[in-house]
Parts: sequence; C-alpha cells; structure tokens
Amino acid sequence: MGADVLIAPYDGEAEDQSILLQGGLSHRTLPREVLEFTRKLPGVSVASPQFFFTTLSVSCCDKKVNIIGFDSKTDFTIKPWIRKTYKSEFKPGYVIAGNDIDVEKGGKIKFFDKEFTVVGTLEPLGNKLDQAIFADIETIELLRQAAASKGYNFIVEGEPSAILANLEKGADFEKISQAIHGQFGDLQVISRRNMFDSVIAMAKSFKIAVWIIAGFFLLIVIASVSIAFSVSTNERKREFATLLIIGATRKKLANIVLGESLIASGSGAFAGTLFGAVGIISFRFLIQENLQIPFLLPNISIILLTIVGALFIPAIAGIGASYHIAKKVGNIDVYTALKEDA
Amino acid sequence: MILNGNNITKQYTRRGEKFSAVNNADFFAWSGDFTVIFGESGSGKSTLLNALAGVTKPTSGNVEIDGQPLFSLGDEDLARLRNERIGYIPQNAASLSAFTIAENITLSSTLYNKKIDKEHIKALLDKLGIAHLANEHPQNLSGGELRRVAIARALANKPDLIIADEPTSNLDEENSRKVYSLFARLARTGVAVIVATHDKSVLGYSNRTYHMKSGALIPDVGEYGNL
Repeated sequence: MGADVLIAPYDGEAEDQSILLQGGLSHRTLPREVLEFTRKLPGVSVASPQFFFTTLSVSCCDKKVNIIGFDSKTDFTIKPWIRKTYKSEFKPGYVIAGNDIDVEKGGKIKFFDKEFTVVGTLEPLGNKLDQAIFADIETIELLRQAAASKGYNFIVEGEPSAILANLEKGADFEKISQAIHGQFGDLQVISRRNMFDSVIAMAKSFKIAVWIIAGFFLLIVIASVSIAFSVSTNERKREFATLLIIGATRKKLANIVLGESLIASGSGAFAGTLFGAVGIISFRFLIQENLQIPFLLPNISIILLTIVGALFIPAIAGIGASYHIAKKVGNIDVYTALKEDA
Repeated sequence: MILNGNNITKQYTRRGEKFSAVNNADFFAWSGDFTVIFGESGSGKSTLLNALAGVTKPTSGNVEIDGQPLFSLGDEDLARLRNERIGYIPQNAASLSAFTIAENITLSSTLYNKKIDKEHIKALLDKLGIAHLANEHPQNLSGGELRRVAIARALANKPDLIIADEPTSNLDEENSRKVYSLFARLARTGVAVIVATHDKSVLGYSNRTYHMKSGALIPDVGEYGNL
C-alpha cells in the first residue's frame, strides 16, 4: 500500500487485509472534513483521498467494474504504481484500466454514455483490482456528472472512501489515531504495521498449510505405490520366476518393478499436475473469493520449476516406495515362488 | 555337452529347523542322454532340477556345464546361459497373462532381441498340438494346454539341455506320448534331456534312470535301471 496510515469508514466485517490482499473496497464514505482534519494533524506529512465506486453501466464489461479515484496532486500510493504504464499528466477524461478490463490502451470506455480515454492498462495483480478502473478526481467529477445526468446519484461529491496518510519521522501513530477517533466516531484508523502483520501471518499460515497438504499427498503416493506393488508383485511371483527361468537377469526383474512404478507414479503425477493446473486456473476466482487471497501466476521459471517438481517428486517417491519390492523380486527363489502360488 | 553336478546339497529351514531337500547328490548327463529321475513327492527332485538349471544356488556342491561352474557366473552370464543353453520346464510353470501364447513362447528370444525362428516355432506348436492357440491368452487355456505351452517355450531357443519337471502332469496319454517322443527325437539329435516324473511310460524313451529318496539321488540299476 505504501502508506503509514489508512483511514476508512467502519464497515462491520470489512477487514483491513481484504484491502491489501483482495483489493476489497468498501463503498461507504468518510465525512469530507476528515481529510482536512488529518492533513492538519501534527506528524502527518501527507494525506490523500481515494474514492471507490462500483458500476454495471459500462461499455466494456458485463460484470461489475470498480472505479478507484485518486487525487493525482497528493497521491503517493496509486500513482507510483500506475507510472509503470502511464508517465504523463492525468487529464480530465483519462482512465487507467486493470488487467481484466477488456479494453486496449488508447481505446475508449463509456460510463453513463460518456466516453473516457484509456491511457494505460495495468499488469495483473490477481485480485479485484484487476477489474478496476483508476481515475484522477477530475475524471471522477466528470463521471459523477454523467451519472447524475442519467439520474444516478451514488457518488457523493467530495466524500472520500478512504484516506491514506504518511507520517513524519518519529510521529506517534497512537496520538494521531486518538485525535482522529476523538473528532470522528464511525471510522477506523489502521497503521501500516497492523495491516502487514496480519497479512504476513496469514501468508505464512497459508504456506504452512499448503506444505502440509503436499506432504500428506506425497505420503499417500508412497503408501499407495508400496501397497499396490506389493500386492501386484505377489500375484505375479510365478511370472517373475518364469522370466528368470527363460533367461531374464535378476537385475532385469527388479528393473521391471521399478519401471512399472515409474510409469504408474509418473502418469499419476502428470495427470495430477494437469488436473491441478486446469482446476486452479478454472476456479481461480472461486479460490480467490473463498480464501480471500490474491491469485497471481508467478513468472515462467517458477511455473516450470513447480511443474518439474510436481512431476518428478511423486515419480521419484513412487520409485522409492517400490524399491524394497523390486529388491525382493530381484532375489526371488524360483522353487518357492512356483510352489507357493501353484 | 556335459552336465556335471557334484555333491549338491540344498538346505531349507522349516519350522525353525534346517533340513536338506537335496543331500550330496552327484549327477551327470551327456549330449544325447535321456535321463529320468523317479521319486515320490517331496523327495527333492524339483530342488535338484532347479539347481541343475542354474536357478537355485545349492547350499554346497557345484553344477558345471562343459566344465563351467554355473554359480560362479555373474547374474548376466548365468541368465544368458539359461537363455541360450537350458530349456527348463518347471513343475508349476506360469505364462505371462498380458501376452498371447505366441508371445509367451517367443519370450526367451524377445528378452535378448534375438531373431525369432518362425518355422521352428510353428513346427513346435504343431508337434505339441497347440498351433491353433497361438493368438489366445493364457487365461483362456486349460491346464494341459498351458503345460504344452511351457514345453514349447522351453524348446523355443533350441537348447542343448532340456530339464523337465513332471512335464506330462495334466496331460492325457496321447499328449504325454507326443511330449516324450519329441524329447526322444531331440535326444537323438544330441540334446541332453532330464525328466523328473512319476510316469513310468517314460521308460520306453529313456536310457538312464535315477531314483530320488529323502534328498538322496541314487543311480537306478534295479527294476527300471539300465545303467
């Protein structure tokens, strides 16, 4: 977020993590006086408003589009990020589109029958901000007027949805928070540390859970391969003895078992990786929604490394699980094997 | 070809106690010999044949083919020797269920990527009366048919030593006669044939007889012997 303090309307269940992780936006607004009050507080170096709206009345999309307004003169959170795609001045009527908005750079997008120029599109973030349009407050005013002309008055002029502030070095967050709370009741003042501590804790827990689940499935692979091959080789003891009689080496017999286990676990790993990838990509929005975490594909080298790991680790685990069975088959006693199963 | 077994002893542990399935057995066979080993069930015939075929290492003693001790060979050399020189028909031979009968019979050639002698295989199948089953799978065959498949497989590589453990079990008189006739013809071409059986009808084909009792191998000079 890049801000020391976030001031947002108190919104019941809405949590600060959802803003960070999901780009979750509250559509309640703050009293317009909060911005000026915050700016004047000792210790506050800069405070900038943000405005969040949601609209269905847009030419590009058949689903809801979030509109995020910012003050380009004071903003220090959105602008540095947007600069990667748009470095010039924000003029009235200019918007920047999130990655999921189906419109090209230089294209036009219509809100309430008024056209806006898309001057840049953003890299994917893996959260709801990918379905957002970013605009300077002057463009937001044009949008408000267009909406009002159509009879929609959901944008309240001058009331920010959130305020982001940076503090001077050594400023006491608690005092600033108390001062704001003392003046205005129904809002929340969140420090950067509070915002990120919980996010980091959540990310860590999620990572641990993923590793535990992966380990659990690996154990299932090892147990399944071990049991399946133990049963199958036991049933085929006479076949192995026959192969030995007609000239197969003991090493060859062991390699047959290892080869079969490699094929079985390798195919399982391939199918699992394929279905896993298809499942994750197909249900990414559902996963995002339920786990309240962003979904973002990592770079190609990480994806390839993950695929290689997902294919090779279960395959190697499968071979390891069948190793003792292969060794047993390699040491088969022909007389006993043929006699036992006869 | 000379097969020579000296002081072959094979011990197993049964209920915590060691017992000798084969005890100091001496055995030899020459090219062209048709040797029969008689003996009751559990007398140690199968264990002896396993040792002579190079699939079970004796606890002591040795087995030599043309002076080459089998069990001093490494895994690969011993396997190749079994493949090229020995045709072993164990008592409860199995067929590989995933393969057809033809594939089962030519498996010993396939194992070493050898060219399959189709004429020889066809002649074998004809002689054993299973040519019509070539494309069937083992699970569709009767016990007697499977027995003949095992015999065909053992003979597929034209071995110079045939070791057969109860080759005619599950076979009727007519098919037993076919099998023994085939073995006798092979013996006349220089192949050494060793058969362990209860079937006295084999005596009409053999020229050497042993008797096995409680692990001891006795050259038979009595009722059936012709030494």
